[in-house]
Amino acid sequence: MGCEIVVAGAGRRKADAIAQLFADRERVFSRFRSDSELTTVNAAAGRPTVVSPAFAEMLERSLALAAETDGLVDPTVGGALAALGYTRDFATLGDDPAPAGPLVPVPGWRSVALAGRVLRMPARCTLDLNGVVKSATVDAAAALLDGDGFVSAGGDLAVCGPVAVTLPGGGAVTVVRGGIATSGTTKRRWRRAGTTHHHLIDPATGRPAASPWDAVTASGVTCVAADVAARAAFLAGDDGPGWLDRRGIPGRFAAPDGTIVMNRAWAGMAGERTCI
Amino acid sequence: METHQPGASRARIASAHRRARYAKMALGAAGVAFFAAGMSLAHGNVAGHSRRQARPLAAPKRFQKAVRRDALDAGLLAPAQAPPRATTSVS
Repeated sequence: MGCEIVVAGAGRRKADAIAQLFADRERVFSRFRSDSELTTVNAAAGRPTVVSPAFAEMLERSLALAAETDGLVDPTVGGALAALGYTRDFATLGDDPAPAGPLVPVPGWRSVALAGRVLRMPARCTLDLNGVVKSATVDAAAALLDGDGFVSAGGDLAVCGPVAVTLPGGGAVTVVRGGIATSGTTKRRWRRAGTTHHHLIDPATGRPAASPWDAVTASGVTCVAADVAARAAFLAGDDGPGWLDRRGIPGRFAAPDGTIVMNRAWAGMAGERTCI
Repeated sequence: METHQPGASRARIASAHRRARYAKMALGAAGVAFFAAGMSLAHGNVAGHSRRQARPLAAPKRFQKAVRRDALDAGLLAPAQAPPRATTSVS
């Protein structure tokens, strides 16, 4: 999944099982593998397709979260990402003097219909489930732990028992239950013909979102909840802290000038009351 | 001796046609009414007939909404008291 996986609290056998779990999910859901189910499904866009039970479950979850975030976190941004040049694993992406492709509109999650295992989506619709798949795999891996510990993939964590966690821009918090995740533009960014792009696409425009935040950290009952909340708050822009507060979700926002903004829920739970 | 007058005969035939047409329409309407009444009675009384409009077999909308809302529920945080063991970073 193009990120470092850290596991604490697992023996050798459990660690191997977790590594296998990530490898299995990668095989099904990678947008960059020609033999993945996701690639097959995207190639069949426009025709009804029968997907595997695991795929149907993940897509159903992605669509439900798209609905819950008012479409901010949309699984149909794959085409827009590919047009901007995000066509292979991030580790091998690099900068390119050639310009990105023409703008590709986002079809929108409402255009995807899933009835049981039968999927129908419009022609040229490209799904990208990576965000939800990665954090869902973290949750599934954490469920394999026998005792206290945590699983982290690229900094998105699920805990079993309290774990103190370092935060972007300094500071720390104890995650007592659930997960914590950070979304932002400081890592997955690349250049095409001198223009910088990042992976957080605004579904309304099909372009990388212009957000006042560099990074947003959110807490969730699961790692998926934290990850989706962090991304939605990033995409909500100035309204990000309020968007999370209206849902009672703690959020911590790092601005490009180093300012840290905490919403009311974060300040109430984590005890961080002053801006750094 | 009775004589047939062509004009009177045509009038009687036209009248007979008209009566036959009305009789057919009345029979048709009675048939439709009888069928509708039979169907209504069957819906109400025969076990094999659904009394309500069929609905898809799915969880109620309210329940689905609650599950979705819970999917984005907050976790539990507390002030850090021990040295951090993990890091959350931009992904």
